[in-house]
Amino acid sequence: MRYQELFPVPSARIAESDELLAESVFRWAEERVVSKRRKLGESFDELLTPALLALLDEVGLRHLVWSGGETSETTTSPTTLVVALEQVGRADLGLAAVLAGHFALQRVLVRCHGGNPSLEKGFSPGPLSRKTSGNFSPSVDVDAGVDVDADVDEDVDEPARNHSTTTTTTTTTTSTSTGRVKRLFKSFKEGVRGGNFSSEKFSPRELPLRGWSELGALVLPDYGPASPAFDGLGAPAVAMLGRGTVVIESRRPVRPQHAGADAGWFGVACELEGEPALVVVPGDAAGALRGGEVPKKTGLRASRDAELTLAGVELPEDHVVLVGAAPYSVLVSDYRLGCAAGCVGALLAAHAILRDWSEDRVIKGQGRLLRDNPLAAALMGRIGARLATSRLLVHGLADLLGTGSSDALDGAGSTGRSATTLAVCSAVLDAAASNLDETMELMASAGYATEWQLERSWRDVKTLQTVLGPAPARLAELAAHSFGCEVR
Amino acid sequence: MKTIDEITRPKEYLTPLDRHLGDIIRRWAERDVMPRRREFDEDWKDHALIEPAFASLMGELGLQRMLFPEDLGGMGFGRSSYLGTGGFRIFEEIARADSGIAVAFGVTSWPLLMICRPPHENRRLCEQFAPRFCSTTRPVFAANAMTEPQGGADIENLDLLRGRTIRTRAVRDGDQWVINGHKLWPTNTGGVADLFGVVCSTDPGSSDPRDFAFIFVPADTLGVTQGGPYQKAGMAADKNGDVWFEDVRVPDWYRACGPGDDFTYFKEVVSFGLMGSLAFTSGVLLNTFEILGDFAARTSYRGRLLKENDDVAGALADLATDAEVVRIVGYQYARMLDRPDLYGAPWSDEIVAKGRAYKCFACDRAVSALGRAMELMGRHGSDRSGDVEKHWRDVKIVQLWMGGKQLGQMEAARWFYDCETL
Repeated sequence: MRYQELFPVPSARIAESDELLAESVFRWAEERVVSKRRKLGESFDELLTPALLALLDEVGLRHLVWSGGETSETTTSPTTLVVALEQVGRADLGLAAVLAGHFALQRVLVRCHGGNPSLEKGFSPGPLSRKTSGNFSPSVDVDAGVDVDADVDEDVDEPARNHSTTTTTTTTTTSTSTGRVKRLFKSFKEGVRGGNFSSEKFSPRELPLRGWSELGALVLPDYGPASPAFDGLGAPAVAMLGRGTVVIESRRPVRPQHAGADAGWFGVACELEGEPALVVVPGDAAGALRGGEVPKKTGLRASRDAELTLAGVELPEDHVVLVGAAPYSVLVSDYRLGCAAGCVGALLAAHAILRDWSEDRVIKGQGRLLRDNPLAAALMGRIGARLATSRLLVHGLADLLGTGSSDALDGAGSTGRSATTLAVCSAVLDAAASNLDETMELMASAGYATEWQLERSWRDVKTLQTVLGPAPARLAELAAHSFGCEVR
Repeated sequence: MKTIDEITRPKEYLTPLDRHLGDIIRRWAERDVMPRRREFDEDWKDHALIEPAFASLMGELGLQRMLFPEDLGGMGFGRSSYLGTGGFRIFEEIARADSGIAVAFGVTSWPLLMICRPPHENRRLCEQFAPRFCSTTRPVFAANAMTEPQGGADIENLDLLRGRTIRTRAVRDGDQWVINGHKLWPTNTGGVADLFGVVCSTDPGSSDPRDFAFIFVPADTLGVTQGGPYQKAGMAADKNGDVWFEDVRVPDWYRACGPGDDFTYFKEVVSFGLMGSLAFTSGVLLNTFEILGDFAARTSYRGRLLKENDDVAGALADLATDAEVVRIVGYQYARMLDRPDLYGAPWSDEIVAKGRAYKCFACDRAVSALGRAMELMGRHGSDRSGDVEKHWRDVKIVQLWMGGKQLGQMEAARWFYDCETL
């Protein structure tokens, strides 16, 4: 791919299946988003929801992290996530951010609780759809039959159900690209069992929420009454254990990081006996009230916000999927890595826009190309340098997070990894914000006209910077790790 | 918390009307704009919600009459030695509420400077156009048609190009000018403007200043076509679009100042545009100072108010400093425009270059400060309900207009360092 030539990253950890995945998502991005942008803008219903559905169904990202069903000791590597989310972010940073949160939650569930039947029923992604090709190509008629995996067990029991009431069966299909798809989805084949969301639940009449409602949304700490579990930030909710149950209560309405209006379930950061914990909450749990006016924000239109109130929500105790600072930091690290990868994608998109725009832009009236002007070129040099280093940083971070014992969530060094992840994520987002600022400077009015699509990325990146948490808290976290500061 | 009135201004040099004008505009802004500015953002195409705010400011308060001589129904500000600082106050107060409204209002006066300001006041044209603006309570807009498709900011690059890249041609035919050309992006286009000031060349390709022509064209003249408004990142109250001039005929006396003088005094238009940009930036910073101060005084972090945390206090101090410095610099520049006896003519290379430098500085500070304010506020910073993000989007556009940052840097470098070949 051209990006590997322009902005190379170490390829040692990029498996052949990752390359195939990148190709698939790249094609999805071009076909389903980039080519439709000018006409559809930021339309949630006409562009973003159909794109998400295609990403889940046809590219197969529904099963990227968790196939569902039997326990996997390991899950998709961080590099694979980066490869996928980079391309998703190239198309739309909002979609990438939504998936970053969802994948982070899924990784926690897989690594800690993949074999828990209750959670399987509630939160696994469900069976592979016959539409799942894993090899997105407009030339392939996916409905006519793509062999997702010839080895998939056709003798599938009725899937376990949670809040749905219908049955899903899995269909095996055929394709000429079986081998490639097999490699890509070799770990997915075990996921044909389970799943709480039946096909009926996602019947066409319920569009546009089909797809969105199977996603999980993270709810992370924000300003508010200080919680000992979250370094001075307020806990979204407090969790109390009972006899085999957990009850969670939010002190005030909280807002999920992404897709609060549309997600089907939530991973809520809670204070549990003074420690950070994560509780998974079905969207339709009694006492989980979502509503109010959806607040508008600067960017990330793929993520529609809503406030969530948790009023004495009682759940089985196993819905507390992690407790303690170390595993919590791994969850947050996964989310931050995904966001940073999406940001690199947004930078690649901005690079393509500037490159295209500067092809024939002249200044000073003598046929001099703007890009050949020393001042413009100096800016472009800085922009290219930030993109190259950001991409390298994110892939390097994926490499770091993919080694050692991080799969266990409490592995040694997770604090260091967490701080490094935060540092890299912050640096990449800062670089992205600077790149988009300077690209706008070069493009002037074309930079802020929606027609050129650049300003959308500029808004998206700034919004993501804010959604990742208040700046003082992020800096305090880094200071605490780097210098042992006990900020108070 | 201190109020924005405690952010420093040059009290020893303000128009006697300063307080009165400031109070009127602030009341208007807090009544007609601030409660609705989030809705204005969605109204970029139709201006159905925005229009009443313009009507009360420009028509009912009568500020569209600002520059015209008093005997023609105007307020006489064009002849005032306080036009710079008085204008700064008005623009700043409006921009505190909505810089899109500020620029749409400000640009109405922009081309009129060419005919309302001594020593180049054009009495005949003032008499001709004053009734449009002074005898109605309907808002009436004017526009400066400068930018062209092929050259972006080249036209504003007067020092280097001296009009050489202008393709909009004005040809004398008897006692008329015949104008042909295509302009992009003028503020108050997209169907808004009633009157255009059109930058033309009487001999395209020439860099002779005498061939630079500034000619007024009423929008309803045969051959003038306005396209629809562009959608932008911000500044919803400021409509921008394409304007085509096809065999447009206007009387020859619609040329503002004449050969050579059009070029000279157009640089004063640039200077006032830079002053306006500084005022808009200052207004945005003042309102962000207010919003962030309020947020930090009611939000809890680490068990105390946000503002009582040392790190946050440092960031608040930086924002207050930016607001102070940008306001001081902006007022200083406005005073320089008002006192040619001390600082030189507003159309001089020095004043233009220094204005470019100040605008670059102020916009850079503001873009950075607002971005940091958003990050400090966390997700509340990107909430449309918080308004900081609106100012952030708007001030980025201020940074990029009038040739953007790079042209500003080049003009400043040419003057400060005698660069000759940039």
